Amino acid sequence: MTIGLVIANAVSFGSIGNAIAQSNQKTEQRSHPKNHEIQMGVKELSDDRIAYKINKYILRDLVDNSTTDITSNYDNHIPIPGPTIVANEGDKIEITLINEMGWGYPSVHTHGAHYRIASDGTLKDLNKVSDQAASPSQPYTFEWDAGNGTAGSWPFHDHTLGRNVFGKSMDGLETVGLFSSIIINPANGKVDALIDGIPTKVNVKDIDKDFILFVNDDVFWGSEIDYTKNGKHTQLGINPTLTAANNSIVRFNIQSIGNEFHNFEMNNVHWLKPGTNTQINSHLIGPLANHVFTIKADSNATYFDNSKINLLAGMKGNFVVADNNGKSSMNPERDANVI
Amino acid sequence: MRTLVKHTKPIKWGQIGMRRILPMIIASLILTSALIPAGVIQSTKAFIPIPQAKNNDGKVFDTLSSNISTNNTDANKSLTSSSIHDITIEEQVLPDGEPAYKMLRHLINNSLDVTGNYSNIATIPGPAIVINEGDTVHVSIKHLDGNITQEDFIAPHPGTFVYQDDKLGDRGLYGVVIVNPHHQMTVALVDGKITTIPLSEIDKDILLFMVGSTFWGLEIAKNGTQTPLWTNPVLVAQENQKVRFHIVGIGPSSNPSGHSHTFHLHAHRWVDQGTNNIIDVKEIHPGTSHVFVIDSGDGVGPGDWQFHCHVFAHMEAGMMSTFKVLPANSTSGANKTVVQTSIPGASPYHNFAAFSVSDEPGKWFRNLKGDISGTGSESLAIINKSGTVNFMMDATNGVHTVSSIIYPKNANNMPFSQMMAYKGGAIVKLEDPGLYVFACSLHPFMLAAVIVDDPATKGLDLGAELTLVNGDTIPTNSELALRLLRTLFIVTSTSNWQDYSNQTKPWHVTYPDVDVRIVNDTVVNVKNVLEKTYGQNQTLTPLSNPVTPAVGEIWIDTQFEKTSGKTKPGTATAINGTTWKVSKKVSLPQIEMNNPHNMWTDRNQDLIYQTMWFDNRTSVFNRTSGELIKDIQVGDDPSHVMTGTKTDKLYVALNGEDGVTVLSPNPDFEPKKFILLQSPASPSTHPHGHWMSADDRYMVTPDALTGTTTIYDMLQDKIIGKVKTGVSPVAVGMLPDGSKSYVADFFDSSISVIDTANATLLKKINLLENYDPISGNKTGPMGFLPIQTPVSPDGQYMVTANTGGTITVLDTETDKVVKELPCDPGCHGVNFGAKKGGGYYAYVSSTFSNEVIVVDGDPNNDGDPIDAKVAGKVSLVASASTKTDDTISGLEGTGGQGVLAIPNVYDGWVQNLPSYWKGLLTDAQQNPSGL
Repeated sequence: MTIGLVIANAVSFGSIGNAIAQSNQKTEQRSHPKNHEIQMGVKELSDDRIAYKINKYILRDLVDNSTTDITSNYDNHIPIPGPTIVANEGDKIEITLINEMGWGYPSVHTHGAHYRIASDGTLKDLNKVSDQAASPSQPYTFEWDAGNGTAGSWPFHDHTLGRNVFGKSMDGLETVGLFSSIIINPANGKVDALIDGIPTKVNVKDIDKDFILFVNDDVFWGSEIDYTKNGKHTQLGINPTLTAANNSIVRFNIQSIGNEFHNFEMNNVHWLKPGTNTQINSHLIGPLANHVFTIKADSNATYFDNSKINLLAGMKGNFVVADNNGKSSMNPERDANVI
Repeated sequence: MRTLVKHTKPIKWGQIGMRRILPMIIASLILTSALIPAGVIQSTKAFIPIPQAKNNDGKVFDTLSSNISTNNTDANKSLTSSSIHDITIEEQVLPDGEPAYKMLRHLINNSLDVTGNYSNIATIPGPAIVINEGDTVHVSIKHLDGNITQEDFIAPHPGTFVYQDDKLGDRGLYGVVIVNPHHQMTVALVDGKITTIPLSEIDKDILLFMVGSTFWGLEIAKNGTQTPLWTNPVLVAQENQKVRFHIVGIGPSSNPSGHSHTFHLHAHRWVDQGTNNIIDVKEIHPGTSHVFVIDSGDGVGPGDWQFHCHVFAHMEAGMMSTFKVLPANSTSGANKTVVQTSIPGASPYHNFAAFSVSDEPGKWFRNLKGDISGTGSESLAIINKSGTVNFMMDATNGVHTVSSIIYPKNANNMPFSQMMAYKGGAIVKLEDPGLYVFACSLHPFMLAAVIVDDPATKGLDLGAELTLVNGDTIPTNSELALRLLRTLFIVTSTSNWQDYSNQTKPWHVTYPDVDVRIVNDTVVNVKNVLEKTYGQNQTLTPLSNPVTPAVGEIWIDTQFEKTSGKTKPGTATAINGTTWKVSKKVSLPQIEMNNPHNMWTDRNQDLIYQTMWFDNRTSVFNRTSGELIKDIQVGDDPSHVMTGTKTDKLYVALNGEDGVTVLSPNPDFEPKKFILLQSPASPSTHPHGHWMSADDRYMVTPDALTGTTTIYDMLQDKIIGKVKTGVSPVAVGMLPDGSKSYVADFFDSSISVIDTANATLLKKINLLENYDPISGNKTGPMGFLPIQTPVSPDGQYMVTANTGGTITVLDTETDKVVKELPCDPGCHGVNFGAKKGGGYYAYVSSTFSNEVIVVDGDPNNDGDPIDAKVAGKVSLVASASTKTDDTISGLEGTGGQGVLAIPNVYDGWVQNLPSYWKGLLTDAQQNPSGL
């Protein structure tokens, strides 16, 4: 059974039209590698927290030099986790980081992608080359290359903003909000998925939603990208309810940051252990490891951290499969504590 | 928050074949999940069980030898090409006190001697034994005690297997057996593609053991030569070279979940073994290995690429180094076979000190070399400048930090600390001469001192000026510096504590008889100076019972008292308020009560709620019988517990986490809620000694790590404000009407006064106002390092226990300190109880003595505490008539911490007392606020 058939059999006519339009658009984008020209701000939040935000995001076609401004796809309403970058293997990413705090030296250090030592996002003390951070007066540009073998969902985070002086500190304050992720889709356009209990390769263009869940020490931080709505990014805050259309294809990008290990579990849902055909429904994840899986959304579920105290603290959320593609939402009880 | 782990006896892995165990584990995990109804989580799930070598079976190679007994018929067993290895290894003790293995002999097939491949000294990690699938190995181990044991195994299947000594395997007696596959091929990520390459194309093997918060390395060259790389080495390879990494997790076995890590190497990706998944971070659990081959610099080029543990606190604690990728043509002729050797890090053989972090009184930071100063303290180390200090939390159930609280002014790599408590260790290079003191930010009596000496100068260098944790800098000849030095030797040597069980014996403090160099290049003798300044062989003020009896009984946590039935310290001691004798000692040997810190009681006064500060549990026991009723996992390092006056629910502050766990009231005591007392992703607060308002409206928590105090509104279920108080706020007192809260800022020696409902700072009272830190002159009441600070039930005054050995009394009307009373070293806990016939006693405990001081804060009962006085001094040592549940075996009556008077007479609680207890109180005591 192909994925195309699964979708065609299961979703309403309107959704099919949407999916086709979306697929076409994505196919077109895939045909040429892109340069992602991103201006990213770092701003201070309440309670000594810091966050990334998208100031401007231009996609430049590396073949015909045409540009598309996708800044409006981003919602900076709740800036944790930071904005997700979605690229294809073969793309290049250029992030100019602007320090809008008036103090400190934040940076961006990415996992997964290729970059030269000058884009490591660390300080000279460590990388022996340069202080790679944005001072209050001087932005810093990081260049990444989504080269061969970089496909995956990777975290990126600050790697400099210690409490010591510029040029000396090595440990980032990544735990206080400066974390986000980059999804690099594979060049062959296919990812592993568990569909109707069967390990299957699905086309990336058939993914309807990407959910990003950052497992932090006390909460899950969520965001989603809805490809049926032109790749609209929505910030979901803490322990959000994730919503998907019935029988749509969704990808969970589980990231982790902080100090603790968490046993991420979902009842009612199984997925493939990454890189295998083994079906699982829980995974022990440690800081900065990632865990990515693609499934067909066909049953409601709860995701949670399987430890009693974390559960008591509300470290869980719902995965709701709706007949119509509902919008994922923040957990209303926790809104007040978000930012 | 940390995943809680059940304390269960480890399974004896060695007795059952691993191949039979693994399916059992998987089956049990699946069953566990299947039995849980949707959306309801029944119990805490432990980390995925991992077969560790640590099973107390006396074997070192048990992860391999357990496979011998399995009934498999694998082809590898019948391989005709398999070899026989005869190996002898020996245990030695390295100069820093750590044990290590040395390879004495490795003979293959009785003919080929490969001993020369190994280091000719004992190393950490131990020798890597590289064999092939199907090989047979006979190992002789020469132990430190002279015994020789023999172990045999057949390499069951390819992989990197940990070998580890049962007793000292957390500390240095560990290594790996690398079993190469029969086909001599391995998976690698080359040019971004998953590829299979012959092992012969591997340019070098790098072994990195993740231990505490330190990487211990070993390199194996292509020709088999092994080079120890010691701690946090700089790994070196040329671009495009294929390097096989073996990342190994070690210990500690003392902790049920051990220390887990996440290994990350910058700018490189690899294949997650056994999958087609490409990763750049991997979880490393104790006793397991993760093996992968990288293509050096693939897609990223040369550079100094960092590798580190990605557990945030471990990064802060120094768990990092560099993978140096050199350009491929860096050697002339671009000869790829030229392999650059990695650069070893600091080694225990040279200028290195190692501390074990433990739950053991006095020895919280224990130099593995023991007492080097002749003072009884094992918490002092001396190294030369640019030496390295390594810490390993291998003997504690708690979470901690390793934080510099004193260091030479402008010293490199200082301050050194972590933003949150954790399980692990720390490693730091101390470059500049002078005195460094490290402490746990949660348990500040856990102290380690390191003197970093410049051997070219006379005397051990203490430095000219010292910077303190609150940012103050003082000269080393100041009274404050002397006071701190003296405190260090009192705190860390149990023989220097005050013992009231023999009052005829004067209090003798042993100081090191050593010359030190201080400010202006002056050289002084530590013993002479301290004895001259503070005297010696002081006569202790004799014990004396208060004239007026108390109502009920007084419970004191004697946190360090040892009993024979358990390995962890601590008892709860009850004093009869009429006879002033120790009536009961409860140590709960059946649950290893560990450093009991603070108590509260239920409405009926029948139960004692006991927090275990160096563990993750709170226990409930019967106050009369001492019988254990329930032991509850509440979260890391529970410090204080109180009940809500309206609900009788328990509110347990978690000093090792960022909030308060709420337990349902008697009789269930089920964890019902966790109140996160900060916004998600903001810096860790780690609350310690909270206080709750009499009307059950506010809970005020001192955030030990962020220097703030949080006001939580119980009614609205939300944080209504955070007030910036001082450095290390540790305990809170509150007026009966809740209007004002008082916060003891430990390291600032100040009291912050807060308008509770408006969450604003009203005033900051400097308890060192009357003290000159240079001369030591005092012009009025003084409180150095304040801790518990409750307000009297009638709201008239507040009594503060100051670690520096004083009790200060504050008039709540004027918010001025009006009196200073004497206390013992480590003066710590205070709570109020009813004095018979009216009024109150404040009971004050001290960490480093074994008496409780009874303070009458207002003898004439006029509401003015100006007449506050010591009403009596009562022993905490058991007598023949004391009821106990275990045999007292040492440190009798010491470690005075939390105090609880029965009946609980605080306003709001006193009204809930049963009539029996009310009947023993005056009308005023029954209604202290007079409302």
